[in-house]
Amino acid sequence: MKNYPLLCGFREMVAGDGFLASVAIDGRALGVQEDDGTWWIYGVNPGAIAETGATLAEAHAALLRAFKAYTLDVASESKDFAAFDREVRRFFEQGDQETRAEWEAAVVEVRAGRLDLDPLPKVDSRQSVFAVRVHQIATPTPAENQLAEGLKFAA
Amino acid sequence: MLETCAPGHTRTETTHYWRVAFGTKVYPTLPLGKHGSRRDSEIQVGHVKKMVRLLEILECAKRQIEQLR
Repeated sequence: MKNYPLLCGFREMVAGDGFLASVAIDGRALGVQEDDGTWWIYGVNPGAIAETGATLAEAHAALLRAFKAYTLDVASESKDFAAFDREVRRFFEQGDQETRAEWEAAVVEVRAGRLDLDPLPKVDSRQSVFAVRVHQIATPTPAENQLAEGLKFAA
Repeated sequence: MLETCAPGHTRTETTHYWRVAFGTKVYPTLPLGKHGSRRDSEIQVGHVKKMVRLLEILECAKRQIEQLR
C-alpha cells in the first residue's frame, strides 16, 4: 500500500427547493494504491467521502460522481439555501486526524524526492488555498459555469 | 458495528447514500449497499474505514471488523 497526496477540485451547480446554488471546492485528498493495484481516494477536505477504482483516473471519476450525488441529496433535503449552505460548509470542514496525518506525511515524502506520481502536475501545496465557496445564483448567466481543474499531485 | 461503537448514532437513507450521524460528526456518503440502488452491491471496506475514522470510532471498529486491522 502506498499513499499519495492529491489536490482535488469540485464544481457543481445544483437546484434545490426555490434556489439555485453554486458550489466550488478546492480540497485535499489522499490517493492510496493498494497492494493489489486498485486505488482509493480518501477525502481530507472534504473529509466524509471516499471512492475507489481500478486506476487513479477511475477512482477520481467515481469521487466526482459521489460528490455530485452528495450535493443532489443535500439540495433535495434542504428547506432553503441557508440550510444547503450550512451543510455543504460542514461537509468541507469535517475531517479526521488519521487521513490528514497520512496526507501530510506523504507530502514530506514528495518534497524529499522519494515519491512521484507521473503524469499528474505537481503543485506546491504551501501555495494552495483549501476552501469551499457556496453562493446562491439569483440570475443564471453563463459566467456561473465552472469546470474543476483536474487532479494534481501535492508537493 | 455501529450499534457497538457508536451507540445513539442515527442512520438516515437519502436518495444516494446512508447519512450516519454520531455526536457532532456526520458521514453523509456511505453507499446504500445491497439493499440500495448502487450497482456494485457490497459496501467496500474503504468506505467503512473512512466513516469510522471520521466518526472517531476507529479503534472500536477494528475490534469488530477484521478487514480494518
